[in-house]
Amino acid sequence: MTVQVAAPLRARPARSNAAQRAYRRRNQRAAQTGTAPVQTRGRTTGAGRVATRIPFVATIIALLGAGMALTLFLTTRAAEDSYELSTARAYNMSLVQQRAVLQRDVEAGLSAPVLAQRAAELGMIPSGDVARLVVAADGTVTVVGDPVPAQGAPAAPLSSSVRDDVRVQTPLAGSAGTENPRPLSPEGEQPQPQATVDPQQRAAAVAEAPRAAEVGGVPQPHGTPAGASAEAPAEPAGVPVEVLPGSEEDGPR
Amino acid sequence: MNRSATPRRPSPARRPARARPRRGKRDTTDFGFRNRLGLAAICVVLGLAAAQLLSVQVFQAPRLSAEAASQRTTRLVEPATRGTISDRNGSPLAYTMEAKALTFQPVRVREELDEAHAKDPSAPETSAYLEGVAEAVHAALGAAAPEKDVLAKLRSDETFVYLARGVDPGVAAKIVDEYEMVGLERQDIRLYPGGSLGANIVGATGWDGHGLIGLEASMDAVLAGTDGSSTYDRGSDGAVIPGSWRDQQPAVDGSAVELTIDNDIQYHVQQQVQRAKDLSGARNASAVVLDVHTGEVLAMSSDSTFDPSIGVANNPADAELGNPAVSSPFEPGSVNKIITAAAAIEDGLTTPDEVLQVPGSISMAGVTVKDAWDHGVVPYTTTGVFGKSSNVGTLMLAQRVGEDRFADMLTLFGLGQRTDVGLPGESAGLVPSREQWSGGTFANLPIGQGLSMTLLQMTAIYQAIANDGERIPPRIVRATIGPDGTRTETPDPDPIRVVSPQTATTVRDMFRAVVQSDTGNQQGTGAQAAVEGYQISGKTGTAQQIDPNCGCYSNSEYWITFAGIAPADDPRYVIGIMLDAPTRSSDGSGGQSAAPLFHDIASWLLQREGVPVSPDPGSKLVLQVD
Repeated sequence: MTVQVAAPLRARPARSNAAQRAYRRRNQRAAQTGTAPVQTRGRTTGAGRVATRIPFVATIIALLGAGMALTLFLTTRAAEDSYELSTARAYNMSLVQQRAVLQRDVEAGLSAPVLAQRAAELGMIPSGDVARLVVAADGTVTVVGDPVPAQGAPAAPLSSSVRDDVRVQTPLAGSAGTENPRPLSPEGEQPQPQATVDPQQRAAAVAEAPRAAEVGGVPQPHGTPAGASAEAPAEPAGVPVEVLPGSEEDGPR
Repeated sequence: MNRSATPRRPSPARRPARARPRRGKRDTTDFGFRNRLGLAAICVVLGLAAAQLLSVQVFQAPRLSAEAASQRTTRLVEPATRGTISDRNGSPLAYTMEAKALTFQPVRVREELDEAHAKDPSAPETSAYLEGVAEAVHAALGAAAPEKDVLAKLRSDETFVYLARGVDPGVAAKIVDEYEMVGLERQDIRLYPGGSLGANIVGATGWDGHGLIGLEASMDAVLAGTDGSSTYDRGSDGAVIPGSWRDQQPAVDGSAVELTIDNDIQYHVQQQVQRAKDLSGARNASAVVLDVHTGEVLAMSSDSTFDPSIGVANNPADAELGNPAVSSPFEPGSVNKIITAAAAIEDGLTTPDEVLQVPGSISMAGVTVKDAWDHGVVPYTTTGVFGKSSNVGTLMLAQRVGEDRFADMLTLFGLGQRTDVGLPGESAGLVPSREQWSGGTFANLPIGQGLSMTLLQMTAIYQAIANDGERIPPRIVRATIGPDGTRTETPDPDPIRVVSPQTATTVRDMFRAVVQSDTGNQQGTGAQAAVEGYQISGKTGTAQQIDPNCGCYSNSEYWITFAGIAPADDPRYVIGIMLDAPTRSSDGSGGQSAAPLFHDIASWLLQREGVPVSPDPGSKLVLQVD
């Protein structure tokens, strides 16, 4: 650190006369008191002493400079990281939202009514009564029931009474778009198939499904007229209403 | 200071000596006066300042600091996410998704756009920008946001409008990326993936996200959770004042609710009930499926159930918003005869094979009750009395049981008491208390008239017989699952011993007679309920409704009921059905019977659950001795 002192010293202007006198007097005082003239780090000249101070200032400046550079670097990095962080957070958020939307679509697609409707669109019909094969311990197989091909109409949608116009106001507005089509309505803005089925049509559809009409199997013991119940309602004539405390209160809903 | 003061002092050399004392005196007086005046002014000013300081710092301090706090304090609410309602397999029936609402400030944004365009002609014109927003919103949302409507909102003079609600977050983000003047607001939406599936149980939430009907309303406290909040201070430029975050309360999400119902069974039952309603011409139809051994409700449905996914208000006026299976009691009719059967067998008062000489009518306490068909004295077995649903034979057995014992049995079977199944609006039904019985009461209760019960109670009677005489009150909420994943099972209800296991087995076997097919006299009343390969026990029921015009029992409108056990030899499921005033059977055929609906539900259920067929079809039962 003290090596480079000579060159800058030479460049300095000579001391003023007053200063030179002051230094001289100090040296004289030192001689009178018996002490050696002031020497700094082995140098006897004033110029050498000043020179020793410059590296110290330079050190401080260098330290400050280095500190500032470090601060600047860290600040820049922090800012850069915060940008990266906010980008990552935004990306994460979009992924979370994307997952929620996908999950919504999956849940909607997995729900029983939607599956049934998709099956109906594919032309699938409920199996009705099926025959069972019972395998005995000895390996013999018995057929229980009468295996016949299923016939009839596809299952009617669960919610038939939904009007066309209310689909427009569905709270899940975004799902009506092409971006995230709601599985219930893959055609987007088109009305749902179920929305176009009125109850009469649906009743007609299910009526097409031929079921074993077992009317003949109902016991009509003593010529009960057709259409009347085979069940035995209590005889109303003999039952005064006032003896039935529950009757009035529990009328038909 | 000295140098500046020097020139003001009169120099003795330049001033006449005589003038000095006079002028000096006057100057001193002036200075003193000015000095005092200045001092007084300063004092006044300082006094005023001190008074103001006092006023501001002491008297007005609380108000001012409160005002300042209210200006800079901002409270952030972190909404709690509502819990999911799922079926027994975890498939959601209702859950909450975070969506976005698109917001806009028409007046302010239009002004800003005008200014921007005036400064920089390359900025978009206001009208073009608004049209672009409307087009983009419409393109993304389709029919839910007609371009015309959106444009009208953008051009309105409101300070704040919602352009669209419940928008998919991804879709919303795209719109906002393109048109940054459109704002976003978090909006939780409740989704019902099954539409009307189980909606009679689950219910729906209202506009504020809280429950409106059904379990959504009755379990709102469990589902809703608690909103979190935090407070911070904000400078006038909107920047957060560092270190001002406080009162941070994290949101506590709502608990999830797991039901006992099975979505697939619920779907099938709901679909079949709707079909039965349409085909039979009934006003209403309901069905309940219980698990025999746990009393858990596997399905509970009624017709015309509303669809919560389109909003309660958007459903047609005739949509069913309630849950009639627990809220609407009715007179069950002959289904109730199983109580007489169980009591008579339990007390050893009869055996299935005992032959009873059953006349065409019976007179009890002045009340004459006839069978549904005219007949003379017929030798029915006890099994035949129930298989043929003879009122007279049932009352003959009920007389052996006795009024008090019969009243006790009604209580043991849970009639007249709420089941506490866990659903809102449950009715207890109505059973006349023993003290109120008149002569005719006991002529009616055994045959299921003069008392009312809900469909759930009716099904629970058969659950007791199916579960070897032990009644387990039905439950529909299986567990609640906290936001931290802790699962709290609904405590098992205490079982009630109604009859002995032997009695239950005997009664189950006896009631197979109802579904027995025969070309002769051994035919039961509900043969259509039979499922090939399985032993089925059950009971048909027909109860006269009250005719409001005469206040008497109607001869044209009936509650048609059926309750049954499948399979009878190894019970797994109990199914209860009620049709309200049908004109045909549940499959559209003649007569009025709910037996075909039982068959459709039971047959599907046994197949779906892989229940093994009964090892033997069961012995042929003798209903009538020739």
